[in-house]
Amino acid sequence: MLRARTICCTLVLLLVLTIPAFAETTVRIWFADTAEPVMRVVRESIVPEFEKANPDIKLKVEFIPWGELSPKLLTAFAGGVAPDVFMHGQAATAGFAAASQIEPLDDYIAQWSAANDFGPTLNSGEYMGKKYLVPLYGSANLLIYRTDFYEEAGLDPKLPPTNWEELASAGQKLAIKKGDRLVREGIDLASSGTNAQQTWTTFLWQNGGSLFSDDYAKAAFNDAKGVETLEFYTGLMDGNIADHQQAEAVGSLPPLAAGTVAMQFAGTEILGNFKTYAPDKYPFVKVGVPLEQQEKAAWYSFAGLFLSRQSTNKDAAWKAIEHLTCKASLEQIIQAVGGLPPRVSMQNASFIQEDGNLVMFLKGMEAARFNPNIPQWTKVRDILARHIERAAFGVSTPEEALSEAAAEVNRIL
Amino acid sequence: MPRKILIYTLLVCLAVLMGTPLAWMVLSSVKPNSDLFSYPPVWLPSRITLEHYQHAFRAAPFARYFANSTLISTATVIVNCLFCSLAGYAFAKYEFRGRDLLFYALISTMMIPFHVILIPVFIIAKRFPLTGGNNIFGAGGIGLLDSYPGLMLIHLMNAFGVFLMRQFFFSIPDDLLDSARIDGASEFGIYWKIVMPLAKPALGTLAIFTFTGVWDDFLWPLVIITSEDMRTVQLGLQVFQSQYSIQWGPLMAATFAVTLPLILVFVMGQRHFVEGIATSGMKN
Amino acid sequence: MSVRSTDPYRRLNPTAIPYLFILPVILFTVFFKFIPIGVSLLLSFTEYDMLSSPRWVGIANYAYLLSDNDLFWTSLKNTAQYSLEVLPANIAISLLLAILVNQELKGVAFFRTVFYLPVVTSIIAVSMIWMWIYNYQVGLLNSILGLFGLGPFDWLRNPKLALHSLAIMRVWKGVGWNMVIYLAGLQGIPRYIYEAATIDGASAWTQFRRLTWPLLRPVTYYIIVMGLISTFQSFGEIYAMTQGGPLDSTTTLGYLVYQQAFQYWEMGKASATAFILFGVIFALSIAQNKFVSAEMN
Repeated sequence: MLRARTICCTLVLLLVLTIPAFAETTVRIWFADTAEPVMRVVRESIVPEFEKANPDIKLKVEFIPWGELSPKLLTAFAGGVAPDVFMHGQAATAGFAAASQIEPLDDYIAQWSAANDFGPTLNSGEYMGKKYLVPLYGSANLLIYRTDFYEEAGLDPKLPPTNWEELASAGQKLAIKKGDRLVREGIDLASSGTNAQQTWTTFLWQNGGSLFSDDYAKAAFNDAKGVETLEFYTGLMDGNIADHQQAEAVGSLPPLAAGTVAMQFAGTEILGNFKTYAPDKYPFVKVGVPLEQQEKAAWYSFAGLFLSRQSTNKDAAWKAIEHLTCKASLEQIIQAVGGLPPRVSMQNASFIQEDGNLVMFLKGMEAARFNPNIPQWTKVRDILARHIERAAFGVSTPEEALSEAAAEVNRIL
Repeated sequence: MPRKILIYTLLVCLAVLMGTPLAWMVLSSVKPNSDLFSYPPVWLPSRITLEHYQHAFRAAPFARYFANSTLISTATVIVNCLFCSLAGYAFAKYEFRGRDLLFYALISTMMIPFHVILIPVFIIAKRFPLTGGNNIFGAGGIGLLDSYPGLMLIHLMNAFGVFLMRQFFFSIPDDLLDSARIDGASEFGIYWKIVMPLAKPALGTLAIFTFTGVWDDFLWPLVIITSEDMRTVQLGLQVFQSQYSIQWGPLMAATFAVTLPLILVFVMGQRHFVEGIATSGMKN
Repeated sequence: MSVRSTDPYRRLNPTAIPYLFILPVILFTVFFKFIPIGVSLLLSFTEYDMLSSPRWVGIANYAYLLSDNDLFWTSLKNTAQYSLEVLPANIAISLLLAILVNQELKGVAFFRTVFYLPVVTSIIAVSMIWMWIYNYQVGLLNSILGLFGLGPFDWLRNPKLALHSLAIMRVWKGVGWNMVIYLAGLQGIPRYIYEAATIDGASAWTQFRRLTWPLLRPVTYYIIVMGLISTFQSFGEIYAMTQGGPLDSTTTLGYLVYQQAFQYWEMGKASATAFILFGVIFALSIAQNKFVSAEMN
């Protein structure tokens, strides 16, 4: 008897408990970062806040290492189990949009009060006139240097280089050679991978060049301006100012902290590395201004949230995007990541104003340029990087490298 | 005597060469950050700290990941030993049509990199009938994704295991099997009661091969696991690598912590392990 | 006998039994190997981005790879070179280790464990450690070589060195495994054979050359085939340490397949590359098999 009653009670109880669970919508989010502070703020603060405000929606956030995002997303999309919302860099926009796997957000954005506050950063994920991305944080490629090395070399740390000639001459003075080997690079330049493309493209823009023709039908980087840029770029890597390759990190330590380079081009993330692993060196780190040759330009890029077309709860998913990119959430995420805020009104936040280097990154945004959003981008980027490397190693001349790269790029455009 | 000294000297030199990287890992895991990257390198920590271990275990529930990895590796080992020995026995001791063709087709599957069959296998796993909310036609749910059977799926059988067992069974004399037949034992009875007990060492070897393979796998768990509490140890280690930096200390600490049990298994089992391979007819 | 009366297999047609025994393995292989491989073979004749439907292009992918694609040929060359460096070194060192730890000495279990350790350590962590060891300016290796007035060498960033540096690491990671296999082989050689040789006055070297090496030949054959299969597909260490650079000097076919599939979403080309890779390994294994059996006769 007693047993039967217990069973009945339990069943009723279970039924009662499961009813709200059925009414709930679950939004699955893939967040592209596995750094512990980021995971902590998302799990412990941002998600609970959202679920409190929206009791009918449950957020299921999964953290994916950046490097593995691509295979994981591709398999999920191919298998029809993509998350509702996922994070990626803006460079992913065109590929996913062209394959119709992500949802344009224009209708949502049109009714969104916060949209104005994002300003031009909302355009970073634009493809064929439609917006697909709500940015979470940004990074850049600016000159960063050690003031103590500047003083050692008799340079004024308050006057970082503003153009190519000043850059080269500062690099010359800062470099230290032992025999024929650079023990400290005056300036560290990347010659391979995405870093090479980013830094070199920055120089190209500064020289008044551009990657593509206006209609994106042809490569344009192989014109006289491009060749001149690559000549200057590889010319710095003469073994007296820079090596023909980027310095390696030492464990968690950026080369600038290890003292193996005096200046380098890097993003905001390097500041966080300094603060964690070389706090004693951080006072000697300064961020420069975007260089100006023909034009003033610096490479910027935003990572943010995309809405999957496979999502069956698009409105709930958009609510989640809104919450993740509200000022309170962004402030926590950005502080944990060490990136740049995409919202104009956040630029005066105290955590940014306190750090002169972050302020410099923000100031540099006036000269911000973004990589183009075209579906073939990853391939174009790698072709470009591959030929920059060939020029850096002297396998081909800058002119040959760029015309070969242009030929390959034109074949796939 | 001089021969012994020579051997010991060689052993010690080689052990230093082979052991240095891992000794560095262990030392790094107990060094404060300030010692980690000094140049020239500092071997001994200025003070011993467990902060990296604390950090590592705070960052991710490694106990849970460890349990997951152990569970799926062990279960996979059992299935593997059964299936591979059955097939290996048949390939070694029976004459049947298509035997060699089947065997070589099986072996050649090892030569295709996993990357290119990843997507088809993923879709099969997702559409696996009657699992994860799927109906009999494999629609409606997530199939074997995000589950233990899903994690085990691609390792349940490996061609190498069949090859290994076949080699071993060659060494069992046919007379033994025939006399059992004369005594009236069934074919399955012979396999189960006579052959399998003899195969223990070879099965042990297969077990260690399989265990290591499943334990080390990274790409497959990465694509099919979505819940955090289903993660394996290898996925857990990724927590310490972000886009631009590696959390060196915690990575070293966690790696050492998750490797330690495997080391203990080897230390305890190495005698049997070696005997297992020795008797498994690698001599042809 | 009880076995006879209760065993259902008894009633089966005897010719069905072996098929029954291999059934689980065959079913598994069909569903999780043959079908996916078949799909991928079909895809190798298409252009397929995994998100929209594949488009038939005939042999275009193969033609693209085999004709004017210098990256493909470079990776094929790199792959072959990598295998040629890793395999012989691995065989020589693991055999040496096996002979050493096969001695009846105190503490030999400790040495076996030390040599085996790299095998069980995560490839990601191991790659990180080696990147630090190989660091040009502050790495351990250059700091040690510096004591002898050598170097410094730019292990991972010099296109002439990078592949060799990876090979060294790969050998380090893998010799423990083959040591165990050789050790087993050594223990399978009856002791009396050596005793007879010692009485005949053969030196240790002669014994090795005349007895150990020939008797271990099947083990070596097995190690070579397995080694070919695994080194030809190597991916993890390249992905973690060099991403195929510098100057494509460490781009192997395994890495190229990954890049094509998951960076460029070109599953068709990736599949075609994989099948060429398959062809190469297959041909080498058969050649090796012929070579060994010829030598044995």
